[in-house]
Formats: sequence, structure tokens, C-alpha cells
Amino acid sequence: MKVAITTQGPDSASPVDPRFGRARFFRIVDTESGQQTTVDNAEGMNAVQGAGTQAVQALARLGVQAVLTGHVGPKAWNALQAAKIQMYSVTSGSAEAACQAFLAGQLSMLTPAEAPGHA
Amino acid sequence: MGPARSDKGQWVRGWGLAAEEGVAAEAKAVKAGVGVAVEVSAAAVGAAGRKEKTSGRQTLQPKSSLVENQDALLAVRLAIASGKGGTGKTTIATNLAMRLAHHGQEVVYVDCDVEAPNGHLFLKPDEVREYPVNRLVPQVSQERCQHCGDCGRICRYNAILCLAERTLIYDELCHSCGGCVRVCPTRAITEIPHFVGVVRIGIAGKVQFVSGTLKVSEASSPPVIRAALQAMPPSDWVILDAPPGAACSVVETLRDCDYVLLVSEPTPFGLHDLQIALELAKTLAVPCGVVVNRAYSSMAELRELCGQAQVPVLGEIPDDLAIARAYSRGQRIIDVVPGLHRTFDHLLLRLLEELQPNVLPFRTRQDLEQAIYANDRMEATNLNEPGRLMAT
Ligand code: SF4
Ligand code: SF4
Repeated sequence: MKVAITTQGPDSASPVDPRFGRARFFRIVDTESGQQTTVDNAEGMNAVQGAGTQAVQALARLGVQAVLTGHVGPKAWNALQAAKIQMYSVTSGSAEAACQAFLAGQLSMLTPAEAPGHA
Repeated sequence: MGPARSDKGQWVRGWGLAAEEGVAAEAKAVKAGVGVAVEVSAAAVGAAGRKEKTSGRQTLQPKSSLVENQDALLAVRLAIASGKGGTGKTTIATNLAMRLAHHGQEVVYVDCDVEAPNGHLFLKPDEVREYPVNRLVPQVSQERCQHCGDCGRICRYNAILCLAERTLIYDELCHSCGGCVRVCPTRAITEIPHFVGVVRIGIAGKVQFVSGTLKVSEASSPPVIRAALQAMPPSDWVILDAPPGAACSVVETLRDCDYVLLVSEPTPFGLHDLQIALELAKTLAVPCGVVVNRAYSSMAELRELCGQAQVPVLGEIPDDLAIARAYSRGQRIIDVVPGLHRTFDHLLLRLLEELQPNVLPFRTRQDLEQAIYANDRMEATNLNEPGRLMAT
């Protein structure tokens, strides 16, 4: 299973980025092989609009099945659901820590009530 | 009225107000009452002809003839704008329109502040007709879609999400450019009209009234502004009440304008916003002048700012409790505050000095100047005092 973590820096020690569509980087972790890659999201970060849908599009192409992030806007929420990507809440700590917590089953799923009113 | 089709039977891109001939024709009918043969081609020529203004105005034919109609399409487009809301754009725009009409000019007032139109509160138009404005948004037939992803790649606005077994379109992100329809190899995408607002056309005394209202929850105002601009009946003057700020809706309004009046207040916030508005006018290469609302004392900073930008201050509306009171009651300030109509006449005279000869037909200029001076002389005689405007 491939998991994406929104991060503020390119490596696994970087802190998580609470924003989804406008996250600086996506750290993609393949939980089976342990392989890790980083996707630069400069385009999404600077997109005038539709950053969320663009990010979902990118993650869907990569075959990601879960994201670990802070906040998801309503459009991105809907797009992630359509793409059958699960959302888990993580607000602080490093990408590595978030990944470990996820594997240990300590992260809770984001619920629609946590989808704030911004896109 | 249903969504419009152009002559070729295709959807009119970007807005669905009936093909411009239709609306312009209706609007002309409103103005002229019965019996004026509507020249449809004149409306069609309008867009192309507008930029080819000449200083000599055809004066051979009497009013409401064909020539007059074409001539009127070359109206002076004057936008009233400001960097922030609440500076008095609508006050200036509505009163200026009334004053121009008072002097015998044909005037259209267009409320382009489609997110919060308020011109109707002051002009109180009658015989208002409503037209729906639609824009086209794509719709994907899931049966036909092969999930190639081409539509998602072409969309610059991230409005399409191409998933392995579904293609989703986000209406609110779509800008109705039509790109996705063109690239889809299986013709899986069709466009359907999406209601985005209404345009209202009416008449307020001698002023033609047009106003656009964006549907609540709709994010993008340019389609409604474009629809309002296309619905304008022909006239000598077009007064555009621009939305506040410097966003795309303002750009849409100021595009193709002959002159912009920037309304400002001599407060620190007002000055900051004036600076933004000045930069915008400069970027769009539209000549501009400043009208100060709630003016007091010397306003050294404001004058310095205008001086640096080489933009003239054309008029000052004094800071007066009577004006505020009239405004809050929805009254037109020139009707209730004595002497204020002279301030607007003076502003018009200053504006005439600023307008380039190719923008303002010579005859219009002459008529207006004469009307203003005659009015001034008449009032001066009544009050037994020398004409004030002549002296200034
Ligand atoms: S019409 Fe243009 S903006 Fe709208 S979805 Fe298609 S490509 Fe994107
Ligand atoms: S371009 Fe047409 S076929 Fe390809 S994904 Fe889009 S809708 Fe489907």
C-alpha cells in the first residue's frame, strides 16, 4: 500500500505540513517495500485555485491509497473520496514519525466534520 | 427566456443571455418606446466599431435614425472605480449619470458590481426586465469516457479529476473555456448551461439602467459583467459602476474603457487603496482622474500621490452630514443637497478637458458644454449672482 504524507521539507525528518493541496512536498511511502520518494508540490502550492483537485490527481496517478495530513478542504475531500484515498489525521511531528504512527494504527481517520470550510 | 443560441445554432460561450442582438434590441425598444426600427446589424457592428472612433460625429441625420444608432454605439465609456468599497463609487456614478441626462445627453448606467449591486437603490429604475445569465460547463458521459486523462491535462484550472474509473468535473473551478470538449477523443464531454446570475434592464428617469447580479454561491463574476456590458443599449455616455478592489472583475469592467474616475477618500486607508487603483489603471493603460469623496481641508498627501502619478484631481465632494443623510435614505444627493449639482457640473467640465478628442465626439462635447453653461447662467440669473462655473 502506498501512503502519502504532506511535508514541509523533502526528507523523512521534515515536519508534516498540515495543508493538503498546498503542502510543500508529498512524501510517498510504499509500506510493503519500504521505498520512499518525494514529490515536489510547488505547482499545487502556487496554484491560484484547484490546488486540492490537482494534488488528488497527482496522488491518484501514483496509486496512493492513503494520505496523512492535517486539513482537507471540501473539494479535495470529495475528490479524495472519489479516488478512494483514505485520509488520516496528523498535525505535528516528522514525516517519519507520522508514518510509524500510521503503521502502528495510532492515527485516526479524518471525518467530514473535520473538513473545514476552505478549499 | 431559455438559454441562448447564436445564429449558427451553437451555444453562446461564456454567457447565455440571448444573443446580443436580441437583448440590445429589446433594450433599444425600452428606450425608444414603439415605432423605432431596430437596426440589428448596428449592434453586431458595435464591438468591432467601438475602437474606431473619429472626432467628427455624423450630424446629418436627426435622432433615432440609423446613423444616430451607430453613432451612439461609439459612446464614451467612463468607469467609476476605487481600490476599496464604500468610498462612494455608486454615489458618484449615479449622480453623474443623472446630471448628464439632465443636460440632454443619452446615458446608460451599468452596475458592474455584480456581487453587491446597489445602483438601483438610488436610480430606482422602472420597467425592469430580467434576463438569466448562463455559462457553459462540461459534463462527462461516463459510458463514453475511456479515461485517457486528456481533459484533465488540458484544463488549466484543475477543474477535472481523471481517475481510473471515473472522470469528475468541478463546476465551481471551471472557467468555461471549452478546452476539454475539444480534446476529448470520444466526444464524451458535452456542455450544459449553468445559471450564474441575472441581468436587469430598466429605465430611471432619463437614464438607461443596466445591472448584473451574480447568483449567491457563484464564485466568478466576469460572465455576469460581460453579459451586463453586452446588454447595454446605445447612448452617448456609458457610466460603469465598477466593483471595488483590483481583482479580475474590475479588470473585466475597465477593459475597453475610455476613462476611469477613481473615487478616493483622504484617509490613510483611502490613500493606500487609491495607490492600488492608480497602478491598476496604469497597467491597463486607461487614462484616469481622481474624484475625492468626503473631502476636507488641504489633503496634501492625496495631492502629492496624484502629483507623483501625474493624475489630475477632477473634483471634490465635500464631507457633509446632509450628503450622508441623503445617502442613507437612498436619495440622490444632487436632488436634496443644495448646490451640489454644481459640483457635479464642474466635475463634468473638468472631465471634458481630460477626454481625448478621439474619445468624445466634438458635437457631444459642444452640446454638453453649452447645456452646462446655459443651466448655470439660468440659475445665476434666478439667484441674481454671477455664474459660478464660469468663474472657476
Ligand atoms: S471548460 Fe475549460 S476550465 Fe472548464 S473543465 Fe473544461 S478545460 Fe477546464
Ligand atoms: S478526454 Fe474524454 S475520454 Fe479522455 S478522460 Fe476526458 S472525458 Fe474521458
